[in-house]
Amino acid sequence: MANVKVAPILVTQLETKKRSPSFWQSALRGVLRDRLTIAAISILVIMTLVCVISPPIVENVLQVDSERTNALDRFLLPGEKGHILGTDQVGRDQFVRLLYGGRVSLAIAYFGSVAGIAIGVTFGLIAGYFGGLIDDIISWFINTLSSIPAIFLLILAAAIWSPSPVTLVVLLAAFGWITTCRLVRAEVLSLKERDFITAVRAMGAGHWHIIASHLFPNVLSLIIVSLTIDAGTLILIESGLSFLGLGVQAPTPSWGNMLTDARTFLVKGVHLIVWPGILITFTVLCFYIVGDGLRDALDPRTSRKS
Amino acid sequence: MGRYLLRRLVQAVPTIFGVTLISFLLMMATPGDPISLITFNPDSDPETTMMLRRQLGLDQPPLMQYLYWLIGNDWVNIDVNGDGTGDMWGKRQGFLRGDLGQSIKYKSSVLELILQRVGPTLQLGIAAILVGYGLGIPIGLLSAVYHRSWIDQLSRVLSVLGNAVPSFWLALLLIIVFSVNLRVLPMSGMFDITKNSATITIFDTIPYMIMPVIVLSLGIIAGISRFTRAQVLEVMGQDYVRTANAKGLPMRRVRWGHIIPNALIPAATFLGPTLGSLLGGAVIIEQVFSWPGMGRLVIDAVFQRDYPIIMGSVVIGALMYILGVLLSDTLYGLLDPRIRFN
Repeated sequence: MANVKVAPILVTQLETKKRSPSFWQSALRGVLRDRLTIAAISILVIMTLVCVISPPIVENVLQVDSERTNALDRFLLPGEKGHILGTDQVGRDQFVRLLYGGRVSLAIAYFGSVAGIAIGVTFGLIAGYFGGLIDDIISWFINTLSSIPAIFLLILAAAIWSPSPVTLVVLLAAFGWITTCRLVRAEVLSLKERDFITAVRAMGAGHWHIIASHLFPNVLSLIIVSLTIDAGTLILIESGLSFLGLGVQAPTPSWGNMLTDARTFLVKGVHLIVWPGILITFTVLCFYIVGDGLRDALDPRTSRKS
Repeated sequence: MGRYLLRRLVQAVPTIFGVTLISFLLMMATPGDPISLITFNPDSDPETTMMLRRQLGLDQPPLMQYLYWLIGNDWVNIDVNGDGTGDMWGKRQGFLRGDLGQSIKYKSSVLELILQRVGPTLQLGIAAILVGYGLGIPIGLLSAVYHRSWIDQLSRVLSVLGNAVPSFWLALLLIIVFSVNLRVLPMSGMFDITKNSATITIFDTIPYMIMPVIVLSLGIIAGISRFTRAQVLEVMGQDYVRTANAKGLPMRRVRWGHIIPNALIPAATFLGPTLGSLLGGAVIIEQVFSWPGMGRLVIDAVFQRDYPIIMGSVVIGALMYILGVLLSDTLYGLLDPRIRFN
């Protein structure tokens, strides 16, 4: 009888005691407190939505065309003849082209970074966990690729497979996974020596189970941070390649290739040079801020320090 | 130290081998071969084309072609006319003996072409590193010492911004402001082409260097100031700093005697990767400013499909990067005994 009396009290005490927040809950709380990160995330979401949804609508509402050239309306200044941001060197509306360009640039950044991270994480987990010959081969490959300036590889590859946005995503992913792979590998190397992995192994878990259920969740925060930083970096790289004429090809606009001919209109087209660059800088800045904010929120060590 | 250096050099060999392999594979993946560029004329004689192919070793399987590129073909008696007997000895020396082949467009040695262009690229690169370190380290120190003050906040914002601005766009803005509107700086090139090129000295190129160096050094300033800041904050939490404080050393002596030297040593490791990224950054910046360096050589070669130049530049670029990393790690080892003996 005594036991029966005590038990309900214990249970109610346990229920009323507040559970300590999980790792992801406290991380989310950290992000929500960080106003700068929240602002940057909101801007990116809005920018993406606007670029995906609005270009055709804007074209219709403003009665402008992003593709048709118009020799009479070249280099119109912002506001002239209903062109909010003016027209470019062949008379196309800059505002609509920026929106369409954002579609292309953002899509390349999102898909490229996801694909690159997927490759990097896979190889990083495998190299770090199995070690030995597999690790040697992957590390050799990483060292080799990272010692060639990435832009050299990219312009070479871009010259071979004259790129569409899709091939560009493939190329950026093919050369952009190295940093992530390194980070994940290093993290796994230290994780796999920890007691909880030894314990799981002692209980008879297989390699793939350990990798998928125990190592992967532990590098997930690192992956999320890499993803945002990479997306920003890819926008920079894509714009650089497109600027050189080796990225997205005309007439498809991207923020980078809208500047390809910029050197020929340094006088007449200052407004054409300013806007794509501002959008690139602003977007990359947002990605970097989000990356930094997430790193602080997800890594208990850094959040206390700085 | 010698042993450490030797070990590092040996470790670099497989990497260099990998670089040559990757760049060769990329060359192999390109549609067409150098011959199709030389004999673009549809009337060209197939017999002559075949002879030329044999002469250049293009009839060989990829593995042999790679071997020729690597060690040369002067040990092969080439059967040029296809009658089964050798007609002439190969002339190539191969990469391992410093021969990177012939440019298709310029018809001269790739190595010579690259060496001509390395100078201007390094001139920009070294200037950018000097400016970058010269400004980045003080900024990083200041923002760490005045941690969480407005100086710190400002320098953090600037360093993120410095990484986020596309360099070519910044270059265009500088050109618009200083060359087109204010007319105080030359827009492109390396020196006044109306002058006699024999009398040109490095001082004549300085006005032409200002804008490219500003753009190139911005990324370095951003990176190094962040790095320095993090290092100083890290060192400030170390036991020996607490000891120095506890024994009553004045803050100034703790700062200059203990914190700053220890925080700056790892900045040496930054040098190697910086060199690599400069080579990459130079590709775009040299294009914007028409600076006659390696970057422009590569871009021109890409558009003209001059594959020997591209492959040569990739390999040389990678070699410079590997050497840069080796150099900076050695410097690190020299400065910090803990690295050397581990």
